[in-house]
Amino acid sequence: MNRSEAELRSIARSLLEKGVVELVIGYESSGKSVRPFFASRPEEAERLVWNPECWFNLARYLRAFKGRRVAIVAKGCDGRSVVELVKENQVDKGSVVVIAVECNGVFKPAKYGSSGSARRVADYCERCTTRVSPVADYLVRSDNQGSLKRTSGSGEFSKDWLSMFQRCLKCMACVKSCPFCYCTECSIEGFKPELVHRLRDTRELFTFHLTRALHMAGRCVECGACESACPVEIPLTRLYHELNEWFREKYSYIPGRSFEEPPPPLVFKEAGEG
Amino acid sequence: MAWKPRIIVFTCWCSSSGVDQAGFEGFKYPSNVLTVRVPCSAIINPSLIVKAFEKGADAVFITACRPSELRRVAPSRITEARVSLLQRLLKTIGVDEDRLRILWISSNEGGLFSKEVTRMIRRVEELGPLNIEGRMVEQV
Repeated sequence: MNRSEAELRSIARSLLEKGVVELVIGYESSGKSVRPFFASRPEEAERLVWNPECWFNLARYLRAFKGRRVAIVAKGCDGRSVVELVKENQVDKGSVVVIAVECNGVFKPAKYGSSGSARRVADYCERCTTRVSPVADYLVRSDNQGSLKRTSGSGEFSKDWLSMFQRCLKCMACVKSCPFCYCTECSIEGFKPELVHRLRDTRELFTFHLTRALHMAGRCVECGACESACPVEIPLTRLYHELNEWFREKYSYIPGRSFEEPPPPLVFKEAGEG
Repeated sequence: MAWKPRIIVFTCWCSSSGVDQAGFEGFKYPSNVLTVRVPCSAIINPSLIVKAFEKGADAVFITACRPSELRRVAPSRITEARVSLLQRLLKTIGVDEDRLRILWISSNEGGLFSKEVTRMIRRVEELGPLNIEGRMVEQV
């Protein structure tokens, strides 16, 4: 156990002992990797861990605990998700305690069957500029001040998106891991007939991925949970990054930066004259 | 049989009478154009445009009211922003952004519609067919 983990555990323990929160959402060890963990008793705080394996975005669970006081262990991107979810009225600002942990990038998750000796930082973490959450009630500094060793072997990447989409299994892991895919009725099934059917294999992968990209545009905080969860390794975050660039160029809006900036589609104004 | 491009035209209620006007005035445009009339251009869900591409359209053309001719908030501006975002997305995934276009058209401009849609077809003929389904078949 290192210093930042001890600090995290003591914060979580004191929050639970004083009854400030009912629940601390964090990570626990699961042998080789980590898994989400919900600590509700003070002694359970000892099971919390924090290391570069923690790629999962815990803001995903906040909506399930709406109306209850919860604390969340948040990396930079998780904190931005909290901000964006508050702006979308999915999370009450007052009921969430953010324990921000300084993040130097997370590892690309080891796939089944791989030896796991050479771990490297995920691609999306190399683009990341928010190492600390913009909203923080507590802050846990990382042990090593420098960033993780960035051993990106290939700067070049495939741009053949159309054939990458064909690898998709429609397992919906990207949807289930995303903090912003919270609609109870998904719009891809809202049409009759459905745009994309989840079960019937009709190969509607182009529509599925483009629709999802359009719904992520200007909201995605590029936490990379979808990309890491993807069993066929489609680099989805890179696609959503392009659309966020469009919002940055046109409206100078960066999702999750601050509570004050409203999302551009909500305050859409006509510009110019045609 | 020679390949002919298939083009879907989404027309808003007002500009659809502009498309009709092309017929009344005797302007010609190619027959491989399918027009779909919708109540307003802002009701066109971008997912439906994407779906049109997947289902075999080589290009999608949207005709909408001129923003200056609308009274208060301009729905055409909403459509314009959506189309601009979708063009960026298409460009990213390697589909030419010229396959999606928006045209401001009033109800008396049949000539303009026929001219522009013909120009779009020439452009799509240069680009060739959009191979989304083709790739699917190869990989199965």
